[in-house]
Amino acid sequence: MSDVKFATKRRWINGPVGRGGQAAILAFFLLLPGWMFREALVDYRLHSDDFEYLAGSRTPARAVANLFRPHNTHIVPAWRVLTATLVQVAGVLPRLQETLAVATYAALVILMILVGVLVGREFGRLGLGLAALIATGTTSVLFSSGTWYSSGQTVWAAIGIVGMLVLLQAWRICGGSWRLVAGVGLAWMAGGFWTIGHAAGPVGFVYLWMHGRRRAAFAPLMGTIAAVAIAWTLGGRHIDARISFHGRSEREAASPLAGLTHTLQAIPEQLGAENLGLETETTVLQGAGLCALIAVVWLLSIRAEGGPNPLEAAGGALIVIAYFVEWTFRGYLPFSSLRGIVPWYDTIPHVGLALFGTGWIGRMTRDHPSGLTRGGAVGLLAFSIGLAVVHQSRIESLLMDGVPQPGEGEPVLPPTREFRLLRARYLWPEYHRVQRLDLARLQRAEGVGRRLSIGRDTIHEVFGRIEVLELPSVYDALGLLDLPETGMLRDPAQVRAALGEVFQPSVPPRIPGGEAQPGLPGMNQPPDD
Amino acid sequence: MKSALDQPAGVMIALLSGVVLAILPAWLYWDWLSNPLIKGDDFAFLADSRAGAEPFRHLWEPHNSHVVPVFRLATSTLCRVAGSLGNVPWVLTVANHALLVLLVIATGHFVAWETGSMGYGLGAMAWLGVSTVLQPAATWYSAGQTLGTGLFVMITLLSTQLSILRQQRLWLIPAFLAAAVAPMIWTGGVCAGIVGSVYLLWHRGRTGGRWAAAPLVGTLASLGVITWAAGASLIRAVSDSGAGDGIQPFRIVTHGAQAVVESLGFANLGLTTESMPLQSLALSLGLVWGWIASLLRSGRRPNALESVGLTLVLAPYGLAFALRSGFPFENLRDLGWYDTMPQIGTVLFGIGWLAGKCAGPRCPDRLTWMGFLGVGTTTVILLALHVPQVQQIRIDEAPEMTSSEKLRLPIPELQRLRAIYLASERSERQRRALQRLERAGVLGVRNGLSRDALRNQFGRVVVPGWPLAMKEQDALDLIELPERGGTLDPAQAAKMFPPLLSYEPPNRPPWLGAEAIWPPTEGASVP
Repeated sequence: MSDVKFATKRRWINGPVGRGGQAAILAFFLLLPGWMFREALVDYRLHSDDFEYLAGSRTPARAVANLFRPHNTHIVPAWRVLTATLVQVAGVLPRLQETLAVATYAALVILMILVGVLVGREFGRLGLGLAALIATGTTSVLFSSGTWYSSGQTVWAAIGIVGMLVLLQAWRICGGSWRLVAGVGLAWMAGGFWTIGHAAGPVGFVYLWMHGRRRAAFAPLMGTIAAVAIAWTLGGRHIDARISFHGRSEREAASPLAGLTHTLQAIPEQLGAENLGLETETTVLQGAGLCALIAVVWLLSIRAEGGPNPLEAAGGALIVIAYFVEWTFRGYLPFSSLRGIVPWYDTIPHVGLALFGTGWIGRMTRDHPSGLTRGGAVGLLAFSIGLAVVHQSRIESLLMDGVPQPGEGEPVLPPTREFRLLRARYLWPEYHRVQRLDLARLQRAEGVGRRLSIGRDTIHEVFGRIEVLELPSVYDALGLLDLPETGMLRDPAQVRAALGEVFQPSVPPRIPGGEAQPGLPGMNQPPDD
Repeated sequence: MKSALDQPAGVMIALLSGVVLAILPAWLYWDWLSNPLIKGDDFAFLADSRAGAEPFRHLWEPHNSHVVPVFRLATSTLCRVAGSLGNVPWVLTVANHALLVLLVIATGHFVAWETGSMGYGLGAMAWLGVSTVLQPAATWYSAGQTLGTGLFVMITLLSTQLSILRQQRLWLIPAFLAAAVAPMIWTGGVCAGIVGSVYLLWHRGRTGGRWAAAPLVGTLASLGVITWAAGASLIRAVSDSGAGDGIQPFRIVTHGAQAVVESLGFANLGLTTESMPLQSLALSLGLVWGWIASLLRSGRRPNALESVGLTLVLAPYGLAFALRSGFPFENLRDLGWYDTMPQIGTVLFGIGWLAGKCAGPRCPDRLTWMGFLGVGTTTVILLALHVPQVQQIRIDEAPEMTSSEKLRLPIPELQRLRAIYLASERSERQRRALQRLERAGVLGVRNGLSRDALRNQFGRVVVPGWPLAMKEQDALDLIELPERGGTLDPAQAAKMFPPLLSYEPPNRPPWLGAEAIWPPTEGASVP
């Protein structure tokens, strides 16, 4: 009798999940990172390069003019087109916050789906594809690029790379040269979002080469070479590397040896520990030892089969190329000075890790069924929830780091994690709100400026630098105004009278309560209040 | 190529590998071995281990909440072996390291015979010996109690293994005795009986289930004797330590999970990290899931090494964190010696997992060139991971750098040299202070003086490294003088004793700027 019961249970576990069930769990997996990043996304604040990119794409004309104008060392026409489109979609400046938040998260979702499709089709296993989808998005490694628009350049570049791989895979399976051409086009586009997107060509080459398509493998490579050549021809002479590299030229900044040692440290620290929601610090020797350990274990596991599978090769290449190039150009600084400074550098290597890891797992679990079973679905749900739990505390830490340190006169809270988190959760929406008011004032100024025909040059003469909450000191919010460079009204007194009130700088928010005493916001007020 | 690698490497190569792996921990911890220092609880144990009947008077006296008669006797014996008080730091350091080496060899031997592979045995030696997880126990005599306990756990296991191998129940007698001795070195030794019985139960087909209880009975007998002999003082000690304030089961689980992730996971890679309770729980569950999935895939049940290893991880952590569940995990991170026995368990479990299906104890196959290559690669990688961590620990143990030092010594290499200089200077001062103290003792005996008489005349006497929290005793308790009696002629005393009992302050390092305050005022012990 018990055998019968066991067999029934086993049959149920091994039974397939229906279409509705599949759609439901897919939706859950795609929404889970949104829930993890909810505070930073719901209360999105424009910061750092957002202002510069938005200013450069405020109008279609400006976007075209800036298409190949480098931003630091990046020539990113695709990114500028995307930004211009989003500015048009937002319509008015106060709506930029939610528009960019939605676009940032949408990019993450697209990337997750593409990785899932690529892996699922590579092995013909839906479950493995979903596992790759979960591993790509459910991580604090992508907190920066999943919650900050400009950092999300790396996600869009990754979309280009993985999208290209999906098309190359489709061409390999179904044929049709348009797929190959479209893949080459995506390889081109990947570099147009962010420079490291140019890794698409070499990665596509590795992928097709490992599948035995030796001649076609050169197509994505050629695409990338053409993309780099065109970008360099049209925008290369405007690149001012000294801004990015702290006063150094590319040649002075680059150090391939440091690129190698930084890569050895970044792999265990940022792809290893941070993917477990933990932070640790290595030395170069330890980084080399850990990478050697991973390499030995991997090589032993593939020994019997004579080599890596295409997904492992492509993923591994993506990790190594992206990190090596990134860290080579940051080689003028020791790795200890770079930790946590450029978290978006990990986005593309993380996608590489998802491909490499699922390629490795796929090799070891070949006997698993191609469809999604109920047992598999439960396992994937446990995996995704487990990852969310594992990363929660690191996301909270990043959230705490995302608000300014307590200023003078701000109530002193007990120095515990819980109080710091409460403070961050209070301040994120406050900063969002105040910045939104600033953007609304800018929008009003734009209206007044248009009505009175005031040019941006006159505004600059009268008011100097225009401030918006969290605008970096190197930028000017003037660029966010859709006004002509010069206007008809040039009288400073009239301009000041018309816009003086609008350009009053806002006060940065802080937690309530002026007394420097320990306690929660409002705790030191009398009970009747 | 393959056939050449599968050839036996020869007995000499195997032996040489074993010798190198037994020596490697000494190389790893050379900074501590070359600058012996007694610290913390060492002083309390030494004060209770003076000559005559003193060690026997304190034999069953709890130290914190541990009744450790065997450890007290061992300390007393080592003091006799040292001869002079000035030699004691050196002798204790060497003895502690010898325990580590014996533990490494015993573990390697057990693993080699259990898996039937010399390569796995040597791998276990490398893993256990070249790991900073054991650093607190390997570099501090009192924390080395856990090494002694670990060694007796391994003796229990080796005896039970022999009883199975030779099909002789006679070998259960040493297992019984070792399991009885282990808790008398450190309370965590109660695990000896548990793991011994788990091992025998796993092989019950060969031994008969009833006899599996022998090690456990040894431990229970030992606990009975301890409770009977220590009696009320033990209950008082447990109550004073806060251990009996109420056990919080959820905290035992979360503390255990955090320790597994931080101390057995990351620390075994030479890294430090700090985790949160739920996060660690999820990661530990992931690890368990991975293990169970691999068992299901290969269609096997856990082997003896995995069973014993898992028990040796869970039981000591369970016991330690049950007694410490009143504290948050942040307060327990510094108690690194709690990880000694779970680390042995991790090595057994890890090698067992790697080895897969094991038929049972047998004479190990010869070491092949492939095995030699594997052990060599593992050892090199372990050294690459743990040498930087050892250097960092050495730097962290030194007094905090002054602002001028931070500017002058910006790189870890220089900071380590500073740490070694300061440790060596302190070790030398401590040795000189102990030698002077011994001469004071001789003078005291010659003049019929007591410790109280000296104390009344010269106040409290301390030596470098004396714990500031240890206020009931002082360095005079280390010398062989009666507690009370004798009178001191002030004039004569002022001539004889001050040079011997006065505290020698630390030398000011030559690189320090004039503005720097030296010695640093903060610390847990006399500088």
